[in-house]
Amino acid sequence: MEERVEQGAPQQINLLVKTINGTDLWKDGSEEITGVETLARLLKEETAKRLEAEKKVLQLSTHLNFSQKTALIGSFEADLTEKGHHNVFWADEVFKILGYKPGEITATFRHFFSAIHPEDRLWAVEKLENLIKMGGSFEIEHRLASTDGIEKIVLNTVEVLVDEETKEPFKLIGTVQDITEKRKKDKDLISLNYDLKTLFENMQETFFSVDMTKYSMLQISKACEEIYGYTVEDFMANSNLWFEIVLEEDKEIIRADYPAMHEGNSILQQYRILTKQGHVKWVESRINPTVQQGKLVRLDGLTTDITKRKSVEIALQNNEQKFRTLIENCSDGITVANEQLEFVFASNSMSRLSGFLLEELIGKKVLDFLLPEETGLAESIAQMLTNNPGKPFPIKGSFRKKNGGYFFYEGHITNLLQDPVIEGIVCNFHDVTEREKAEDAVKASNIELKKTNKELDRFVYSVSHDLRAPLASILGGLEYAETETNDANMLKSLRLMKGSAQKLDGFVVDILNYSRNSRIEIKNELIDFLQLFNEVRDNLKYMHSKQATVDIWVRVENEHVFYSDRSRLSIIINNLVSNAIRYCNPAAATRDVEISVRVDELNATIVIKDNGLGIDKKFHNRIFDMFYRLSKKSEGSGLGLYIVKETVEKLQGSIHLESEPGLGSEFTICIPNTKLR
Amino acid sequence: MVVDDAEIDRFMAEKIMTKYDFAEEVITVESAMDALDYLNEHKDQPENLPCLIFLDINMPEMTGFDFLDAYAKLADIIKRKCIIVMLSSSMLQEDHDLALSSPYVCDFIGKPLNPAKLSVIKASCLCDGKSIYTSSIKMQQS
Repeated sequence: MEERVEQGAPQQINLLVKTINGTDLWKDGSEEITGVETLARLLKEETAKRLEAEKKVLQLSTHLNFSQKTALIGSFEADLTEKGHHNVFWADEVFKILGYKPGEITATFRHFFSAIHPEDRLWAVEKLENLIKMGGSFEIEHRLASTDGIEKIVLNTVEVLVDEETKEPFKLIGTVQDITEKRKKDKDLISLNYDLKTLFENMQETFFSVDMTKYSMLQISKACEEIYGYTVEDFMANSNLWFEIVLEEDKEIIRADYPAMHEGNSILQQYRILTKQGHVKWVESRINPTVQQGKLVRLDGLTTDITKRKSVEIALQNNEQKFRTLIENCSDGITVANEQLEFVFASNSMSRLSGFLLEELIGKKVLDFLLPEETGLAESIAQMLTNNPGKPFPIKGSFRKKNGGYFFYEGHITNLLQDPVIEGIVCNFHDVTEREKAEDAVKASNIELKKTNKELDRFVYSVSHDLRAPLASILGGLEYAETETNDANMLKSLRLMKGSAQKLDGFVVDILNYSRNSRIEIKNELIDFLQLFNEVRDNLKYMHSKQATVDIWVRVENEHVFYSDRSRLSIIINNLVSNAIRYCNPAAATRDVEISVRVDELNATIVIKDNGLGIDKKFHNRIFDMFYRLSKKSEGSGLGLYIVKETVEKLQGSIHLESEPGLGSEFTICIPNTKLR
Repeated sequence: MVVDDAEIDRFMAEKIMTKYDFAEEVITVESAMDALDYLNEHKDQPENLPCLIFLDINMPEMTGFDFLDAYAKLADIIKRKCIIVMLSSSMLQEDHDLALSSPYVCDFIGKPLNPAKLSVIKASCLCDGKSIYTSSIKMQQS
């Protein structure tokens, strides 16, 4: 203990101990010793001084020990005078720092060195050896070899004392301090500081603090430049800048929050600012006020650019407004019903259509408004809606009006109960009452027309038959009478009568054909041209009983099947062939009519060619006119070619005439193949 | 046999057929009912059944088509003996087609009857004076 004290304050204590030792008291005493009293007094004083000193030393030592323990700092010293065999002293704390119990091992340089972390040992030892050689002091920080898995960091402070005369180092003193915790805390703090700084510098949000007592900007983060266009310096220079750049119309928003802020409540504001570049931006500020003794002293806040969010919000609002306006002004009705089929929404038009106020509809059962006969159908639709969410179904029916009666609706209904926005069954429809009425009227008049048409058909049929039957009888009678007499006068008058009867018959046939062509709907049937032509020939074979016979030749090239209206084709060919026979050239050697047809995928081209009288070019554009007759020799009604043209047009075909008087005529008819229709 | 409600047609048919030796005997009846009655009365005397029946279409009470329906239910002996030729002034394709779709109808001739038409009938429906049991007309190609 004494030794340690000696070492703690060597100069002073040494002198004292030397005096107390008594050995040199008499030799080295500078004062004159006179007598025993003097000696006793001196001794007494000495003793008192010594006790006092010992007490102080004890106090000092305890204090030191405690200090070392608290500060995790241990002191050590070594006597360097004895070369190679240094007398080393370690304080208790040094043992503890190195991982030993006090006094557990001998305090030597070697033990100390071996406690150093292997990676740090070499340089630390070298440094210390240099110090011992050269003298001076240093502070080194190194790790200790881990004893129980924990790697300690220590701060080693060493000083080597050098004898002023010999220039030889004689004493080494130092401390070793466990700074593991401190370093760790430092490190954490650094990284924390770094993180914070990064955050502060890089966040899109601007942090700011304002000292409200002096109304000065304490700090503002760099992001302010991003948001406001003004730099940190701009804000620091003008504490009111943030408020100046708020749009005039939005300043009230900020002022409105002052009372709350003065009461210490956090506030959230959204307002617009004008940036340095002149752009208007939406920002949101979150401000935490600090109130001390009823006075607002400080504001800390965070300002965020919410322009994008706001524009989306505004767009959404506008959209909603737009849709609402659309729905309200739409003439179509839009309703939403809940799962219980009660109206939860109805557009204005609904009230216009039904006469009910919207309040009279909302909450009411939908089915109560439908025509009672239609509720069954509505229920089955409701069932389908339940089974097919999201799928629109067409609906049609009658909806009750307030003043009695119903309006007809037609539209679509969709189950959107699962849609988080709608959560209902949406129905959109329009009023088709007028259309329905018009349709009914059209239907009625159609039925009427069909009836009339049928009656007309029957009428034409009866008339033609009733006219033709007696004509046929007259013709039969005339023909028979011709065979019963040889009287030339009688024969002539019979022949003339027969001609007139035939003309009348032809006229009736023409009228019937015309009437049938214009009204009867076009059929689409497979045409056998050979059969058709043969029928025509059979029809006409009693015709050429005049002066000369006419030969009819038929040629059919049908590589494709042909579809058209058989009876209309028959009318066309009959008329043209009968004309060819009627206007044959009696002077010609043979009188021939060629009927030929060529069928391809798209058309049938029918050519009817004769070597008859022919038609002068100047009449070509008139022969298809109604009641136009070419010459006095004409026996027909003047309807034949007109009917041909009408019928060809009805079949969407075309007809073309090539003719030279004296050489003959050639009619080319092109009729579309309706197979593909 | 000529079935026609018009007296002039019955008269003319009889005259022409007799004059041109088309038939040995011509029976004329003024309605389809009379025709059916006659056929039923004579079904046991085939020699009295007609070879040819000239049938008008447009007749009161029972038309030519009604006759064809009733004819189909007659005894086979009658149907085997008789051949029906439609003789009408109708120019409707439908009438023509409907008549020829009957298995008992051999031809469709437009009025008036004349020697030329009789010879066609002779050629198409009668063979050596015997009847041909045919279902439809055979078209002649040339």
